[in-house]
Amino acid sequence: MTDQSHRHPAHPAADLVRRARTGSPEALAGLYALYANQIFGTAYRILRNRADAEDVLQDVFVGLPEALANYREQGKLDAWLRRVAARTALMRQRRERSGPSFDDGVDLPVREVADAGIVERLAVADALGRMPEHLRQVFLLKEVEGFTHDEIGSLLGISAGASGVRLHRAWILIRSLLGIGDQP
Amino acid sequence: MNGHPTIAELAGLEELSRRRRTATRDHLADCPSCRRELAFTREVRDRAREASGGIPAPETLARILARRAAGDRVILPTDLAAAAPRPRRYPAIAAAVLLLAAAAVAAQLVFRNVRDPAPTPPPAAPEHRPPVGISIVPNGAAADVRILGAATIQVEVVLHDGAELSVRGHGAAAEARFRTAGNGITVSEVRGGVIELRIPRGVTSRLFVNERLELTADGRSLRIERSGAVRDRVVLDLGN
Repeated sequence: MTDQSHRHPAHPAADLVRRARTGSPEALAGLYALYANQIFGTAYRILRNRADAEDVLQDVFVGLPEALANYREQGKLDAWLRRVAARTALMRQRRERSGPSFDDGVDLPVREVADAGIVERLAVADALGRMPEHLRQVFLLKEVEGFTHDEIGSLLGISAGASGVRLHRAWILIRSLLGIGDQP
Repeated sequence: MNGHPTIAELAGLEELSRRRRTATRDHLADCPSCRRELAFTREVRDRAREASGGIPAPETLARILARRAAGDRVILPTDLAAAAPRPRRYPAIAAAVLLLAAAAVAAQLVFRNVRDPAPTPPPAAPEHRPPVGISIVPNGAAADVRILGAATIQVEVVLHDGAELSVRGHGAAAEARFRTAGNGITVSEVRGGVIELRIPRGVTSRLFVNERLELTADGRSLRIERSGAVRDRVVLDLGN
């Protein structure tokens, strides 16, 4: 009897990673199909501009075959890719500080905002757009992208403690911007 | 628990220590206002996640493959990303011991003064590793980023005043990759040598090494941005 586990990778991405490392365009396209939307979303939330997010997405996948040499299989590929994307986007943002704003909303995923909801999506987007950049970055990286404070510290060049302080301030500010009363 | 949890604690409820989490949950059971606050944080987070920018343009993949086929390559910042996931919490004592050990190793590896690159090798070390260090020193009207035996380093200079910037690699750094990006220059794959930066006076700029802000030039002088551990080795004036 053939041991199938030796013939097929445990995860479909594993085979794509192996072949992408050798420069296979088909494997790169396969990884793109799996992860492009996530990477684009991460870059967009940081840069708030579709064109810039597209550039980051392109750069990540153009550099991916060589970068995969640094990927260790014990980590989750999607989490690794989002860290790479976040870092690439932050580097781009640092180079081109230009105070962007959310440039479009038409392509946002459609989701009914319940009438009974406390806050609406556009109100949150507006509040995030009005936050100081250093607070907005930490808020997005922690609450949306799910990075730890240690990871955020490394991404932004600050301590994990400073990341925690900024997150707290961001929450206080976003509550104020959304017109929600102070905490009891 | 004493008082109400903070909004950040409620937002990160699942990441609190077990003891704190239990206390917070007990508090939530009796505190309607904190329950509303918790619902608020969850709703804000959900709404923020919805801002995804949609999907990439359909031609993006073709552009990527065309760039690859044309030989274009991009060096991605993977050093942090490659790190293995770490447990989120340690007991306080173990964490303190680890931090002290890491700080000692990092201080030896990173802050070694490369202007006097004559490390004393361990007497009976089974495996000799070359010294590693980065220092930034003035050189007339320029600043030198001196790199000794380091793993791959990326140096990035960002100019804010649109002036002319000169970046030159010496020694092993002459083999590095230089790439203009936005209003600055990124030097990557630096494994040693000296990178000479010539930033005109009157120009505001920032220097990053491995994406960490190292220096800020305010137009007349350079200011070190790192902790006091290396401050005594760096002369700040840029040859006025």
